[in-house]
Amino acid sequence: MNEDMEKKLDQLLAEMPKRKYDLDAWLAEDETAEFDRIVSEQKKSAKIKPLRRWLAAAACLILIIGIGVTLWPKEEQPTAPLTAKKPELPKPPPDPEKTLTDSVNTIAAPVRSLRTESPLTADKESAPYGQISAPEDPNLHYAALTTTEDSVPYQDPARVDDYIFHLAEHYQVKQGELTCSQPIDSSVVSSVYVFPDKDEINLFSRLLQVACWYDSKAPGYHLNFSQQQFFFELKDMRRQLQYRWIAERINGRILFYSTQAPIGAKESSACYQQYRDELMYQNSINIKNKKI
Amino acid sequence: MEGVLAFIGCMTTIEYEEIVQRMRPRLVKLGGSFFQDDELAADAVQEALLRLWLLRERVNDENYAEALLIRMTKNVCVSEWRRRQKHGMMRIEETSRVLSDEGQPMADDDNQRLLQEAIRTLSPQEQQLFRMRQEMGMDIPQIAAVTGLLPRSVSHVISVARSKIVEQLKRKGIL
Repeated sequence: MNEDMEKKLDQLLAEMPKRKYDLDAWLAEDETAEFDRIVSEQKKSAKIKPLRRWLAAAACLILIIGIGVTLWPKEEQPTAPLTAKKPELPKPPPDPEKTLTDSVNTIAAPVRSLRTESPLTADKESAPYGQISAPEDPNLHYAALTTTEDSVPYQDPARVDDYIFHLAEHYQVKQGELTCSQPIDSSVVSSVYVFPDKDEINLFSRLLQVACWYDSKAPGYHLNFSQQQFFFELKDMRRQLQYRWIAERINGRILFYSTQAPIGAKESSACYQQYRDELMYQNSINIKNKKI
Repeated sequence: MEGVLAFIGCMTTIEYEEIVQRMRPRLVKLGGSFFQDDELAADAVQEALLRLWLLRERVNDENYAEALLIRMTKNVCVSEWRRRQKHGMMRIEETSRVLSDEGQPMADDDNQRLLQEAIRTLSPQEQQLFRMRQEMGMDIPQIAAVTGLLPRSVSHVISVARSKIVEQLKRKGIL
């Protein structure tokens, strides 16, 4: 930059119009009060900010706890009974089986049926009415249950046998053996009881109550009864078994006959008939003896 | 000289520099308590110091100068706060420049108009320091005291600004 240019620029700058400032206004202006007010307001808001942070943190904590409490029962569900969500059936009539169980303190004997466990264990008693009583194997996860689909809620037919077993035990009625059935078909299991025909036992009414506990749409459901005879059939599609129970009043006694066999197996009534005839023959002899 | 409360006559440039050096940190702290922003506080303090420079001929007492500085700093802070409430986030120095430009008298001839245009092409800091030097007649040490920059830096920025203006004016055939 040469000297001429410098001089010319200095001249321009010297000629540059000077600004006018309102110096009097600057001297007179006093915003001290407003300044203090704004600062105090800012301090107040600064104090509120941490409070807001704490409130936000507390709200988040409450929200997390709320979500946790809401989800807690859902996490527990897998340990609940598998059938907890099954639709409830209408409330059943008083279960004579349970009544009997209540009156008898020690009922825990093995049953001669195909099942391995008594149906009147504590687990089954506490289970909701009408729920599935699936085969119990502690080694099996419940997700691995049978794939058989039931048209109606599953009701184990073997519970009738269990009931009769405990009833007989309570009234000290011995189970008779039908040995003649074994050679014919080992898969057919039959048993017989001779109950005294007393109002105290009231066997026919109890059997009827048991039969009515089952859904009439259960597989193989067939019920027929009168004052003289009781006839009841069921099928267990899971175990592929068919059950039959017959009770008959014979000379002051009630002959109770039960049998279970694979579905489709041929059953002969010869055994039952033979036993019945023997019983009637004994009765007739007894009656004759009494008369003599 | 310490303990002297009254200036002899009006405030001299040396006295001004002394007051600025002493008061600057306190004023920055005051502005910071208002804005919670160091840059805004520095801008407000700078504006107050500039005003004191322009008022130096009317100030003949050191205590008064200090009180005036504090009051002017508060005034600048409040006016800036109001402006920001109204308009937004423009910095004080830009506001000051805009207001100064608005108050700028129209140049009488084309040369002055082109000179103003050339100054506007400078960066904000260059414009600020250049105007302090040329329009307010401040010395380098005074500008350094007001802005908080080193005198050498102030000198360099003003020199660069001057070179840019010369280039601009050369292109336009004025120089």
